[in-house]
Amino acid sequence: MSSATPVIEVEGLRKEYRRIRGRTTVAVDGLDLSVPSGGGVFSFLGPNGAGKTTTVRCLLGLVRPSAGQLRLFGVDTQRDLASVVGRVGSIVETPALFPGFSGRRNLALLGRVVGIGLRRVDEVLELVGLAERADDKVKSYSLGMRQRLGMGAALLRDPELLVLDEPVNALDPAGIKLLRRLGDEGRTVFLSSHLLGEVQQLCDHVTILARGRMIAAGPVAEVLERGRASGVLVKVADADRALDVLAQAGYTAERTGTASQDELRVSVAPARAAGITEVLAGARLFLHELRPDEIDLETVFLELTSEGGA
Amino acid sequence: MISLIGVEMRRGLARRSTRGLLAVALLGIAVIGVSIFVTSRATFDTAGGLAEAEADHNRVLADCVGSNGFGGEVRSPGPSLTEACEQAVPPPESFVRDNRFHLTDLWAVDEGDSILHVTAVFLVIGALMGGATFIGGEWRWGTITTLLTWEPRRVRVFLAKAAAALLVTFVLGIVLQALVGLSVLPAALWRGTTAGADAEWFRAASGAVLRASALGAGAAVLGYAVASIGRNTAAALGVAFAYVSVFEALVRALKPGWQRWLMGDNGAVFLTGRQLRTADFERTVLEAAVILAVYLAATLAAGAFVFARREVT
Repeated sequence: MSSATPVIEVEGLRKEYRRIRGRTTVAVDGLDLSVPSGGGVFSFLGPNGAGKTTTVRCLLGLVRPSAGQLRLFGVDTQRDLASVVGRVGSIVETPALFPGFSGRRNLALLGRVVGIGLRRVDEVLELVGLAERADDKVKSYSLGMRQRLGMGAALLRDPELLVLDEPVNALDPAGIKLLRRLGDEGRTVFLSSHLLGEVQQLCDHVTILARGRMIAAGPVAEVLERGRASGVLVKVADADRALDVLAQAGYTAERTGTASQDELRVSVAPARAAGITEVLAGARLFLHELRPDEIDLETVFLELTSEGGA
Repeated sequence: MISLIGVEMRRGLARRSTRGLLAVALLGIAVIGVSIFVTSRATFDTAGGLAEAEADHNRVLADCVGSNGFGGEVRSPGPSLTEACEQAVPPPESFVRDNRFHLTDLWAVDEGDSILHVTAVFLVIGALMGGATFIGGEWRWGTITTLLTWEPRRVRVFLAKAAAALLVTFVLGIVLQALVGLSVLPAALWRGTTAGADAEWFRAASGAVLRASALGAGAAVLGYAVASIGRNTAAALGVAFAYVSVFEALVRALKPGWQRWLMGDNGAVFLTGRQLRTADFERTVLEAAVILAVYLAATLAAGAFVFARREVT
């Protein structure tokens, strides 16, 4: 595999589930996706039923696609997943481990499948913060601990690619730090999640899915720019006069509509905010506050998915 | 593949359902040992036993004479009726109630039921349940998803699990039946006899133990394969119950000629090493084994086909 070969490639993925009386449900409809090599954290966002889990299951060979190509490290997963599965660690939805076995035993049994010894198991348990509870039965673990154990199972093979489907508790502050570190170490972390705030902090790239189709993809900053135009928020004592002054100076401004009656939103890049202060100060309107109106991933996500759904 | 089988064997042995079944089996073995010991009496040749036998003999003799030779069954063309009855009624020793435990009751070589016949039936039922829950539990807990993300070659996974179920059940079958033998040994030594338990009997009993264990191992794989198809333990047990209690019963009643092909009948021939009293066909142990193996292979192939194609959602 050359270093330029994408870690994940999905081309024209379609998955239909047959229902009773010959009806079908389309879970994924012509999805294209590419995750480049070189490490980093990539997120896969979409509302419930968008097809995220189905895509992940297709990638891992758990579900057969109706059409399309899937490749991991350049290898067609429908033909030879076994040759690359050792380079992939995964959690699909809730980590499924035997509740009657201890955390250590669960990992040890998985490790034995590919000849991983107890030393590595203990390292991983330490890494995910379960060393002290390693010999307790999994059924006594909290949901968060089970998630961390699932994360440990995914990391056991020291994978180049981590595929995490809704790793809710992996996205607590410690989990974010761990995933970020894994991404910085040169591993690729591909995660689907609905926790948009955490994803924005964590991810380098994002793909947004709605109704089985990709509707946006790219670096987080680029995707954010697809939301509404950037702007700054200003607070002045006389908002009505400020609106007039700004309009005369050629700025587009409006009240924000928040409880604060003296707050305006000016459509201008934050880097050009100095011009606003100059114009308003020239009219002896002095600012109480000026800050960039940052658009967040959640807003973009809601805008894009509602467009997709329309 | 070997490591995968090893993992599956460990996983199978560590499962709560396996341990539960083993606990029930050990309890059952303890009950067998204790109940046989308690109900056996070392009184075969005591004076009291012989006196009771003499009394029983005399009562039967009197009945014979009093009923004119049991209503003419005992005829006396030459000797008197009394002499004829004395010849017809067995000697007093035959009336001794032998309450001793005979070690040879563990396995009746030629005819009659024996302890291992009964325990083998329970072994087969337990093995069927164990095999079914081995894969049914994986589907129930979703752990099959985790396993398949580690080893995506599904036929390999399926066969490794089947091999693990087969090996574990076979070995456990031998161990449990050996424990049955040990559990009745005190009764044989102190409340009975080991007469007849010679080398030939021991070979025959050992062969029976191996056949019963093989039958149990086959049942475990059968339960496993059916549960793989149904993705559910209860479904497999339901199918097994319906097959044995409905399908085989109907075939025996409506198509007696097909009885020779039934799993139950061939299983009985394989286990006992004898022809069935209730059937009019002849089978050797080898023929019965081949027929059972064909059933097993077919079910296993169907299970593997479904498992390989099933979507893990």
